[in-house]
Amino acid sequence: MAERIATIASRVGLHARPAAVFTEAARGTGLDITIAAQDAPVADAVDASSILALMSLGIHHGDRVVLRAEGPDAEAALDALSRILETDHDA
Amino acid sequence: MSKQYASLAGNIIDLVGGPDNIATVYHCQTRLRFELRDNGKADQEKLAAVEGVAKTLVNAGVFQVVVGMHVKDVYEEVEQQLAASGHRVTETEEDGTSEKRGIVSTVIDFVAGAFQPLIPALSGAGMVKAFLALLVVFNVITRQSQSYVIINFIADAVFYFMPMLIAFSAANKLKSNPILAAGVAGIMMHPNWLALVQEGKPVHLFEVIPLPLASYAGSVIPIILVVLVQARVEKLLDRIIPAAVKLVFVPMITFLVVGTLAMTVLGPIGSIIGGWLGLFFGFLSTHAAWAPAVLIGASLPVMVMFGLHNGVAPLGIVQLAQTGRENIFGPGALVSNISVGVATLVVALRTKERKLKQIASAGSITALMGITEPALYGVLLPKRYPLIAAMIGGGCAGLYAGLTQTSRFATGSSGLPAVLLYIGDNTLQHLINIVIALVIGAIVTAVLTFALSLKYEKPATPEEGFVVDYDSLPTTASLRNGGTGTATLVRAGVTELNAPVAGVVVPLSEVGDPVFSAETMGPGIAVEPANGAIVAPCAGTVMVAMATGHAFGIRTDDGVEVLVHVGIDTVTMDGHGFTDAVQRGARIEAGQHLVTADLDAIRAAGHPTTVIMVVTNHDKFDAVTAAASGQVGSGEPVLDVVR
Repeated sequence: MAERIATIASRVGLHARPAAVFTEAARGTGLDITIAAQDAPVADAVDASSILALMSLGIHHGDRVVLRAEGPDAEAALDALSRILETDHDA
Repeated sequence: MSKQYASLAGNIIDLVGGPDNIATVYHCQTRLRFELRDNGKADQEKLAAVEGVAKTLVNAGVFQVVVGMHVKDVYEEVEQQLAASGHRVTETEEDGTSEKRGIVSTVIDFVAGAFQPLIPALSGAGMVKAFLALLVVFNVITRQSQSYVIINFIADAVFYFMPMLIAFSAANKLKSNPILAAGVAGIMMHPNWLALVQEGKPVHLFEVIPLPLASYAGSVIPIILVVLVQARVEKLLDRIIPAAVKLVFVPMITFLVVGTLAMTVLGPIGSIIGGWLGLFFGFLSTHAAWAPAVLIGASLPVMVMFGLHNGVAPLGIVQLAQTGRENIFGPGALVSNISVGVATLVVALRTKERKLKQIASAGSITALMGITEPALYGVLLPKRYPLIAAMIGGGCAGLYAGLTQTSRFATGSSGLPAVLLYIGDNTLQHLINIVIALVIGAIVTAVLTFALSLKYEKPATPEEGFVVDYDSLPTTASLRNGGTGTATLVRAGVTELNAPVAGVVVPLSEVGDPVFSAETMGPGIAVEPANGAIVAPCAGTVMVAMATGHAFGIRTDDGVEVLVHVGIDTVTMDGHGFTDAVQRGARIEAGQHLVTADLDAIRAAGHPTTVIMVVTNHDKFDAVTAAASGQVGSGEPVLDVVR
């Protein structure tokens, strides 16, 4: 199980376009990736490839989230995804 | 250009067992064809469920993934990704595939792989011949003119130098050096050799080894034997010659050894076999001219399913090279494809099932253009009755084409445009006959399909939604669970989404927010609302209820995720103007209250009031299509998600 913690750089939080960009990338990995608020229990983690699930987390600018994935390419995939989260796509 | 298929390609590679499991990969018009080291490592079920994959099948040891017309782009992406992973699919060990394939499959696979790359060249040359025939028929040029001679050899070069082309592609297929193979073919066709042959005196190498006099121009079988042997010789030399001098000695010895073998043994044997084939063609055309066209016309759909057509089509190419015309495969294939297209078209007109209608409409057009796989797997096979009609229709058309000895003068795809390949021999007779055959096939097929549809095509009812038909269709099977007992109308494979508010429907592309209008959040529809009563477009669970009350996410029982967004940039209103919003986690029925929006307050804050509804996980479904335009009432169906 690979894990990454990322800080949301987008000013609108994980909403609209940033969320769309992120879920698209998450789908592209082909892995089952979950995302949760940093302090939330693992059971509350949601599917990172679903925009709605992402929005349901209600994550704002500056919040920290945990990405989790399993598989041979998980480390590289999570590196790429956390880079996306830590970029402000509206800048 | 092919970037959009990056994730699809990645998924496919993973699900066939990863790069290491792939011995070779190639593609035909709609399928990726993998030779896997272990077919057991591929997850057929998961793969079939991937969006963008219509179907998977294993045939003759080849693992096939039916992708569709854009297979070339997907293939390029697969190739790139395999290369990027440091995996070189071209360097297959001889014993790479653990799957034992029968000798018939091996032969079909080799012959198909060697001949398929030639088709564009043969088709081009054939069309030039057709053009030349037209020039003669309409008295633009005479057959004695220099123009005739020039255009004729422009067209003829491909046929004359066929051994070189075959050498190249066959060597490619065998993974030996294609340039060396073409070089050996050049030896066999050298003008000096031709001069010796024409002189007619016995020829000997070193005064002892006899070289039988045979011309190899335009021949097929000799070069295939040569390339088969050359591949072995090359591999052997590669092993025994030290790496330092390989570059010099492997080609040199290959030329000397294989060149000699070609001129003394392999070429002459090939010529003899070719002669027998010629006799066979002659026998067919004098005694049973109708047989091939009837056989192919009736059974091609079945042959395509088993990949057998790849074994027969090259016979046609051999016949074309030897006799300048072809009636073994082409006429039967053309009438069969058109019959398949017509049968599918009739199904499209007759069926009440929306998804089938879509597949059938698209499939019939591609079939008429010569690509039958979508129609075959999407319509004919699941429905069976149009398959039977198309086979009978194709057989009847084949009988006419066969009896009239209709021939084509070039190979090419077997769709409607291919009738032009039947212009040749400086006459239009073959063109006229093939058109008559096509008309016969189309009429018989259409009438039979229609008659059978009266018996087998029942109106679809909601209860029938998940039964038989759709299970046999190539669809994304992943999300078919659940889906009963809700107020959402679940038709066969379609989830309907209703207008979340009364008003006027506008296309998403006209919405004043680039995130939505560019479909970044997914495809959907927008409504300019007449009032502020926002209701649920479908039954499901409220996954998202923004604290601001302006956006809601609902997941239906069959997995469709819908976002309803009230107004543009209304997130900045921070809940002002939105009252009585539904809570997250609530179970909701279609038409049930979501929120009350104060449209005047939204306008006063300077925002458009447009209500937007998008399907955020559209990639899991076949299509999201608008089902209404203009004025709609609250709760009227406006969007269809085709599963």
